[in-house]
Amino acid sequence: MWQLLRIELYKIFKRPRTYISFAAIGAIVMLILLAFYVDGRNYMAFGLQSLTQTFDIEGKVLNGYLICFIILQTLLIHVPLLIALVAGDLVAGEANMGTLRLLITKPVSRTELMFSKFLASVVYTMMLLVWMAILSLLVSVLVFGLGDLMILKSEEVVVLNKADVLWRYFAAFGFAAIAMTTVAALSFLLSIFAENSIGPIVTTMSVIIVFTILTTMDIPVFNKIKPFLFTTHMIGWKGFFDAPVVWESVLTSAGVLVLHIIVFVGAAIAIFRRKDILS
Amino acid sequence: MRYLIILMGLICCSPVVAQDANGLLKQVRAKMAKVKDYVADGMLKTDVSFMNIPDSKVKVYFRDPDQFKIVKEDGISILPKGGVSVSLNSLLSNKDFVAVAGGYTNWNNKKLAVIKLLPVQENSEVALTTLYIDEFTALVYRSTTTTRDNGTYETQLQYGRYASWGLPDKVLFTFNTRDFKLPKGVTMEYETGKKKPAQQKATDGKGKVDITYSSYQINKGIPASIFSAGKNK
Repeated sequence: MWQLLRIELYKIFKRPRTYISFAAIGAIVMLILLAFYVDGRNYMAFGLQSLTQTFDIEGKVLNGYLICFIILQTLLIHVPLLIALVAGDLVAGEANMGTLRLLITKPVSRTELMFSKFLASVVYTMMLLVWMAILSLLVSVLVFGLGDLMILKSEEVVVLNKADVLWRYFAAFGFAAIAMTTVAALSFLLSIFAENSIGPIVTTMSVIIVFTILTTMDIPVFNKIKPFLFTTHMIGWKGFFDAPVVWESVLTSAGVLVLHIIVFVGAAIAIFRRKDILS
Repeated sequence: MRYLIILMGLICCSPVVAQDANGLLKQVRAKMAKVKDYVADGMLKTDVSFMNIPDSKVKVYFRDPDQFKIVKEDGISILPKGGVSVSLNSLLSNKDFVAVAGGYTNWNNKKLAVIKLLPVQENSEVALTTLYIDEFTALVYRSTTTTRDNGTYETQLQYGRYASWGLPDKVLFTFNTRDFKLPKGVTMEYETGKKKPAQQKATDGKGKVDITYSSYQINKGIPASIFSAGKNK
């Protein structure tokens, strides 16, 4: 199994396209940091205008923790595309190159093969998130310093003491790992139905975009179906920035996502085991 | 004839009452004039329906005549606009107003003299201030201030160790708030399905800020730069 995983990781990290994701995240984070470094005060004045009409806000609102929160909010919508780029290619890419049939002739069970491929996509996802965490949290804090975290919600302003913030980010990145693994699992499942990787990548992104729109629109008709969409639970990392944390909701969301992962990967393995491989 | 006598009596008595109001106010100001500046350590509690802010240690700076600032070290403090009224020193220092006696009232088992302060300047931000003063100690226990732009503030003060300086041990500041709402599409809200305590509170349009002072350093000198630095960086 370990040998299979190493081979799959080698295949992933040998492709130049894998590094596009790391470069893209690096570029986006640096652009956001530059924008806030140059014109952060105006951004803040605009963002806080509903509050500053009535209140005087003293202190360092624009700090590394806030920038990291903004980056996470921005990037975690786009990162699924970068994950689908690799996870959607795992099986479909092999089918496209004609190596899939050759691969299953090896003395390895199809279950092990699929599981190793999925694990490789999980490793890639984790590395991408660690890269994102280093850039968004560490670099932001180095550039903008530490401070209390002020979060504007739709009907509430939450201020967290700076000593009470770091563990929330670790927890949030841990939750994001589960959320992004769900995307990888979906893309992996779709990958077994296609002969080239474009199909599963585009389908994964289409599902996420449509579901995200349904999740963010505050319309009563959509509110009934929201709990059943995995995208609703993908933003559960924000639950760690409530005071106090509503653990029941956050853990429920994490559970729903883990269930999705099990169903997607289980279905992918079950279908692949019975699939007639012709390419 | 009887009514004429009563009217004459009222006219004759009114300068005496006005004199009392000014005299009492003079005593209050004399007590406060002893404080040229102070740095105080305190605990700030914010109670606003749409705010979830932890209680925090703050430093409070005052410099004669009306410079006042509340700072949370390396942190964020959110105070109502016009919050300068939290300090009576800044409210009363070097301001031109006419004092009118408003009789007496009982408040927390204390008989307090009511004095209304009307600003002399037409463009004054403060429209009316009412002070509730203990005549024996010349301490202000309560004040309400109506402003042009920021609604009405009420301040309640409790005294202890620093009463001889006219400085309170605790200040409860009540002010008007407006609703706060942002579109959920912008905030990308995570629905926890449970109403948080802050949202459950009755939104009567009032917010409260409570400062409990633990210590004062009085008349030790404060640089003016403290009052200009650190605003919403």
